[in-house]
Amino acid sequence: MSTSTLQRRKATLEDLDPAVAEEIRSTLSRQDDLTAVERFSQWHSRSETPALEPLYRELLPATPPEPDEQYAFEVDLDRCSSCKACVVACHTLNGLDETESWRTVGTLLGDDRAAQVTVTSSCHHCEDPGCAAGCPTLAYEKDAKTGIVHHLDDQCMGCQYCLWTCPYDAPKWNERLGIVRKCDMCRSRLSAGEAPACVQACPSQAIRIRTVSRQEVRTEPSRGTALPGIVPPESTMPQTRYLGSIPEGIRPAHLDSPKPEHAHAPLAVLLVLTQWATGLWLFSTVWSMAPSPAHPWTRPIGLALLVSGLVIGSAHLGRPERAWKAFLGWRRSWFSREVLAFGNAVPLALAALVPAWLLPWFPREGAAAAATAMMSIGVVCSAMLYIATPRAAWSRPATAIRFGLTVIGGGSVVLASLGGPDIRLFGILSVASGLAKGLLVLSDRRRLESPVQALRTQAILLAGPLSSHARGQFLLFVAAVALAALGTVLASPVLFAGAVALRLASDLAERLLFFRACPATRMPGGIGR
Amino acid sequence: MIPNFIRSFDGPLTRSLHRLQGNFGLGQVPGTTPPRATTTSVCGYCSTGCGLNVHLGGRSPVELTPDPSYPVNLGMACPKGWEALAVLDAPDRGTTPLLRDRLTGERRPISWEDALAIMVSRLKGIRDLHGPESAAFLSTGQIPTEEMFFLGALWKLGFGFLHADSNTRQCMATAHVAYKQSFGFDAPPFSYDDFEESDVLVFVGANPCIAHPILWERVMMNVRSPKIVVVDPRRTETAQASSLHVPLAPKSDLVLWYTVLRKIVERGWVDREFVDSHTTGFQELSVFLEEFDDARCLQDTGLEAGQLESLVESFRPGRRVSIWWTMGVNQSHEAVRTAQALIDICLVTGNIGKPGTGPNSITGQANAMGSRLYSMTTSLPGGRDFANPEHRAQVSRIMGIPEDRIPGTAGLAYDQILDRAAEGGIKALWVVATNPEHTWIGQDAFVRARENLEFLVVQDMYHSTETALQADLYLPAAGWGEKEGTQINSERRIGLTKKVRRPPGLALPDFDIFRLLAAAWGCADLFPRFANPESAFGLMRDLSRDRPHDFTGIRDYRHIDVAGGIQWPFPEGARPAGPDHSVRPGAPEELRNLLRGDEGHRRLFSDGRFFTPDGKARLLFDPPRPPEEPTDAEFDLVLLTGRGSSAEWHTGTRTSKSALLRTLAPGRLLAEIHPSDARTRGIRPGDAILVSSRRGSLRAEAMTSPNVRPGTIFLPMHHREVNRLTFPSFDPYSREPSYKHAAVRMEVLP
Repeated sequence: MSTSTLQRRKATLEDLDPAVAEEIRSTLSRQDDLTAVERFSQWHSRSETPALEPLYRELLPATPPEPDEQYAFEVDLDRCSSCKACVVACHTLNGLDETESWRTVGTLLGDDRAAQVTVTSSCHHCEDPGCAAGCPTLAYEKDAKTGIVHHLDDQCMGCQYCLWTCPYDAPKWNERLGIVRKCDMCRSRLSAGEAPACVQACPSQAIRIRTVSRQEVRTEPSRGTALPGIVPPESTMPQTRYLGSIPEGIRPAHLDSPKPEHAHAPLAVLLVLTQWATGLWLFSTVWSMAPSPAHPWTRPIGLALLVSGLVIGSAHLGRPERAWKAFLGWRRSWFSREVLAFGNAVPLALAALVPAWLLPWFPREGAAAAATAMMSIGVVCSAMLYIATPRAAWSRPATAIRFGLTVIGGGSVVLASLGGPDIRLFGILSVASGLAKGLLVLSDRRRLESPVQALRTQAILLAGPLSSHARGQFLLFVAAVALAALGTVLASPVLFAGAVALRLASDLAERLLFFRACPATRMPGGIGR
Repeated sequence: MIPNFIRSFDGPLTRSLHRLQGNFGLGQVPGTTPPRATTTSVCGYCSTGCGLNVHLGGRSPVELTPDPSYPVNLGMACPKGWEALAVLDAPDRGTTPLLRDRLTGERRPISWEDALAIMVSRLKGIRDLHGPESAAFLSTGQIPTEEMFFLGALWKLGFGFLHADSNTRQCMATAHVAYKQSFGFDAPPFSYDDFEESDVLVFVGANPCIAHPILWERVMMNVRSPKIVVVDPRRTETAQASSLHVPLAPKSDLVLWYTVLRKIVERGWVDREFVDSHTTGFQELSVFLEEFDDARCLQDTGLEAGQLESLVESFRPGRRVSIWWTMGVNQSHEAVRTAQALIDICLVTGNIGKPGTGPNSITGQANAMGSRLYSMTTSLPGGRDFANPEHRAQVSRIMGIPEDRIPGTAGLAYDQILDRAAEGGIKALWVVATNPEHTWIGQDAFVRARENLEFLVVQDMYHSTETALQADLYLPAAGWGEKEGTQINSERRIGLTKKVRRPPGLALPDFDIFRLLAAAWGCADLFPRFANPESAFGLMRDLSRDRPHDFTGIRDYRHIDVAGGIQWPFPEGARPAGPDHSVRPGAPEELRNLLRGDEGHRRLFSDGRFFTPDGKARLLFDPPRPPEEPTDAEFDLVLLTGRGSSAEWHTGTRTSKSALLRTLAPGRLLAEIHPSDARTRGIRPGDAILVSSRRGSLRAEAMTSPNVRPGTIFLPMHHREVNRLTFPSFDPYSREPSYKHAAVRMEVLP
């Protein structure tokens, strides 16, 4: 503190009446006093009946669903005022985390003609829920009586696959807990005759609960949830009904300036390493029948890559201790099937590597073939895992081709770096698969005029916010292929060793882009969010 | 056991979301925060004045829900209200007074003893050296009336300074002046029931869907299938919900309304009986209107003839018409006359004093109405005039303060205070619960004022506001929920806010800060009735006796609480006949008697008597003037500013502290432009653009929206840099700044 301030303070403090100092002390100590609350709270209603009941009574169905009926949200878009109270009420009345709410509000905007519609949405409690179809741990349950799709929080391992298989962005990731949580239509409230939080809180009474026929949406899915710019209702048969007028030419506001999606680095590593491992085992199994078998390190390297990929990939899970439940959904979930395939491939591959002196009678080649088959099935499951989502940028044959070329490219470039008589053959395979994949990746950037909105958005992301990432990936890729080509000409394992590093980096970069540039399917988003 | 192990239907995560019966009429609540009691407190954001039910777990609040028995909001709230508690725990809450070290420029914690001593000695020093005009305060519409009243009384009657204003100058000054000139008193005539009682609702420069969502709730409760007209340059959420949107050119309102008035007169839709008995100036008005022909109107407003005709049709006799306005009218270079054009229309068509009618100003801040009555900035307590000796004598008698201590003039307005400070005439400024460094129009004026101030004191909940960061002395204030007092909402309802938690650290209620300052100054004996807020309320009540806003019938805080707020006037004595609508469930018998027979809501002027000396309303008008900064070749766009979203409030000092509210707002500065304007400038959605006016420029992200008019650009006011661009022009009567018209240009940034 400066001298002048100190001097001034001294002067003024002497002026301050000691009674004032005493008054300050007593004022500060009085701040703990909450007598007002005690004085006023007594008379307030002690009733157990919700005071809002008369207001929302007519927003609830008079009777519970009949057999073959279920509860459904009904939203009157013409009544919604865009206030977003539903979002906050869901958060507050369900005791959710700081930024967590199971309801979102977005906007549909007109083209050049003035128009906008606000859309509030949460889970649509689909007839054939995409979340449940994708969940590897069976953490979703569609209630037989009410049709409510609820999530078993203590079953979830936090793989977030449901975030992709739900076309409507209904499951919400909770970073703190490492699990997904979602709207359960406040089922405990409904069963007590109370309205869900959002229904209670809407000042315009725009949200209500109806009972709807489950048969109807099965036979006529188009009667389900339909709005411009969202996934058509045929896939999961969502049950929310939107009423009100939708002006011509209106579209989700979030499409205008798309933002990159999450990179999912552990998954990118998992995909690349398991595919390279599969390539190595595939080549070694095929070459085991050839005159000059593949290098003896091929399989150990492949197994190391596979295990590394699976371990790193598990970092993606919010609750890895529950990963053992991942097989439970094998009847429907490609995630479960992928886990089963790679999970079985590891012991088979280990068995195939048992030294001959230890168990001379063991059919190692048989085990290797089985392991290879399992890995190949695993790669197919990986591809199907993405193809089965409603995301148009993933849900096409190109994903399978991309993964297949990674298998061939990764396997061949590693084998080439190990030398041997077939170094040129592996080199050619690596360059050819590299070129094919390069064309595939480049073609994603040229879909600015695609009739499919998601592919246009992907191209916009690659040309805009992700352009430097995409450029970097392309340079790495060109370097990797060029070095492999030079290695092929010179038959140089050293050059191929360099190509391995570049190719690995380029494949990882490509896979990160695969995640970041794939537009999520969702309900209309908020402006600027 | 085994099945639950394989597939866990239950467990700690599942149980953490269990809901329990909450009692107290709440229905189910989160099981982690069951309330032990609840109490109602009126929300501290906007003038709607919603009742919020604070759930108390032991001695601290655990949750908050809208109060179903409160007559304003009937169990609803907007996102800000729902999150009212969340913003109190922010890390940048002020917990100790801070003094800026002159040498290092850093702020250091000091004790309240030091803070008060420094403040008193600096202010006394400045006053002794430079006189009573050398310091001013700028306060707010965000604190209870008792605190505003104490601040004004302390400053003018205790400290003996002259100049003071509040941020209500930036929002409600126009409505205040318009009503006062037209009706003889600042008296918004309506009750919220009028939203439900109208056949035609005309919203002018108002977007209640976003800015007052709970008032829109009342519109939605109207069962008369009303025609809803929205007059706004933008196709707002409210315009989208309307039956007729009139997208006029910015600031062409006055020409539009005079043309509408002329056509009303021409078509014989005038309520002659009402005009003759209850107004003055109709003859002059009729002559004045003759020059407003359709062609001029269509030229100036950019409307089509059909749109004008549909608007005029709204006023065809036989239906109850109410007109509602907010900032689109209040913030203009000719704001008072625009508001009065709306008042004139209602007077001329007899749409006043009856259900579902009225020229109705929807107020902005939670307690702008309290400020208008008791802040002692522009008038003496109770809407009395400084210049009126009789009024001064009344105040002197009721407050027990020597008459010579009461100044005979109101002092300078906000813009004049800042100009005077920039010139060096005002040496000290005390800013209470407002943030002019962010909000002041053209911004430069505040910056220049700051440079020349010797002493800037900021008293606020947060030490981080743009203005607090500039302060020489910062005083930590308690926030909403940490103190008690009353607020007056848009429909003149006096509501109670309560203390439901202790303020953090050394923060104190503003009321206590004023009380301690009075003691430190040595003038506490002038304010014997300011021992606590409820006692000060009693003084306010006494000051209301025989005034238009007479609320001498209110016994105490408990009375207000049980009634769910009480609209003024509520004079002592006879109650109108009728059932006791306004008693809320669970109210004790002794208080039921006080409320018996009260309808719970009431509108003014049902007898056609106004508060002017002759009891007649004045029909007031002036020729329209063009905005002071028209667009030209260089600055070719009109900048409009306003509310961004329902989750944001003013400068975001509170709303930005809620993580959830942050997710409901864009989070970055978006410039809304019409797709055609974007195309001609090669701007794509998401592009970074530079928006410039003659005063400065800012960087924003382009957002194309068909809902703004071509040739205009809309920026939300919640970002500080926006007021670098706004043009400082003011209404001559209300001195309210015109935030909604400045000439700008935009270009895409590489």
